[in-house]
Amino acid sequence: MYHGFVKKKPIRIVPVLFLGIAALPGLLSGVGNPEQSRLAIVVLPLYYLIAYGFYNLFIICRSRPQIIARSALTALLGTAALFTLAYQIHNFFSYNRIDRRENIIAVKDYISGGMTENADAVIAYHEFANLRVYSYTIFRWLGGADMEQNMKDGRVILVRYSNEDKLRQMIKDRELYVFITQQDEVAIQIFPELSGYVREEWQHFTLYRRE
Amino acid sequence: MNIHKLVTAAVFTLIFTLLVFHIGTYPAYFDDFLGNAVVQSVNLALDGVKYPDDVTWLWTDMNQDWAGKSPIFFAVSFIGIKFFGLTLFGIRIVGALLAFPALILTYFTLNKFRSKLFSLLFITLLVSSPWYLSPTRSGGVVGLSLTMTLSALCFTALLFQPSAGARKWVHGLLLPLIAGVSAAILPYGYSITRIIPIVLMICVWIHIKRIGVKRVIIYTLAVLAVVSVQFTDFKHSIAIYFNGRGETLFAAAKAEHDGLTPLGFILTKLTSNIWIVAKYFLGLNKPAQFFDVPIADSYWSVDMFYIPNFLRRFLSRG
Repeated sequence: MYHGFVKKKPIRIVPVLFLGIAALPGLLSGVGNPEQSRLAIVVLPLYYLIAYGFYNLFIICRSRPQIIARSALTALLGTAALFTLAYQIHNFFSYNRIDRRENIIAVKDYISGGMTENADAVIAYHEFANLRVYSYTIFRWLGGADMEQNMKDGRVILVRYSNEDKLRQMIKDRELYVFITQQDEVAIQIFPELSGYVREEWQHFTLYRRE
Repeated sequence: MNIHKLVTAAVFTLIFTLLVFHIGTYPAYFDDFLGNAVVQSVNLALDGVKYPDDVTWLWTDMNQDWAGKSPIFFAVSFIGIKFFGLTLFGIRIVGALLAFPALILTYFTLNKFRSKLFSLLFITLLVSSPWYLSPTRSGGVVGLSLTMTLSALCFTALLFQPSAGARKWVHGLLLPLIAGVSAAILPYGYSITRIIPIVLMICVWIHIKRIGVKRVIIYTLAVLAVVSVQFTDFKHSIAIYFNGRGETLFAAAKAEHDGLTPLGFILTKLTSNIWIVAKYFLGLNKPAQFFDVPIADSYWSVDMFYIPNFLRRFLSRG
């Protein structure tokens, strides 16, 4: 900044200006706060300035007249840069991350168990209120090839707008063995026919079972 | 091979390794929002179904949940899932691979303005940063947006360089064209990037003498060509551009806030945001975070800082 103004080299101010621009989405948060995702672009100018800080110190060290001091300071700075590198990499690959998708895991485990208990069972799963926007991606990933096969065979049905009418008819005809939902109130609104099934509340989902 | 080339090769090998190391297994689950973001790709790649409003070239509220509506994010995640299945590797790999050429471009561009040592230092520190690695390796729209932003910045920065032996058509036509397109497609990234194409456009026009009238016109035409898609419903596109899911300061001010007037809300919230961001830059975080950057599970954390605290000394220096 100082050099940008004093030496009349406005290009040197660009990273600082960009830092301000990148922080704008965070600063202009009305709902929620400036958090990591809203400040994601900040990482670019921020690390630019950090790298420049290192570089600037390196230049100062290299300009020392005494060879010993110059070598020692440069080596020290190089070690600091390497330490930073190693620290950041270690931090990323060692941080304890927790998967919070216990609801979907519970459903997947239940369905897998149900399939082994009753080979002919047809199970429907309703994940979110909106039947299409969220498309059971994590559920399908967790289930893997077995779950995909069950879906192809029609033994596991994912509730969507496209099969809403068909499912309603299946519930009426009592062809469905179990209907699992993560949003009970919405499910019963869309499929009032479920009232003919036995309702069970599980820890991570609600279940309607054919008597 | 001289020492410089050797060091550069070693740095880029390290960078590539960091981008793809254990990418299919670490972390061993979907990152936040990603399950919702890849819905459209999963629909098409696994079920062969494409719903009419799945993907659109019109500007939409581009947040992490709805990223699949972006044709660019959709293409990236679709390619991965199509080739590698609905696996963590399939979802993440294409975005991570795209980041690599963007970083090479960054190095190449910075070399034009700064020394090679600085360029290497910058990309090495950036890529080893958990704050960069987390989104870039996750396969989500935030990481892809970082790659798109880096590319747009670099291509536009290269416009400021004299031709220096480059072929005339590359310097005079291709570069402004690519720079314009790379800036114009930024609104298909995460919403936070939407200010950047406007800034780049202004920057290019301010420096019209330095860049050259012809090149600025080509740049502008390239931007307009991409933006022309919006002309089918321009009013809506403009309204949605800075909407930010209605979570921006001005949109939120329209709601009632415990006796606060809209202006009062804006001032109060802005002050609070400035304080949070200032603390962020000044390093007034908790001492425990000095060696423990809570990057992994911190998407909604306030008062958290995503660079190691000791680096702030270098930030101030920079």
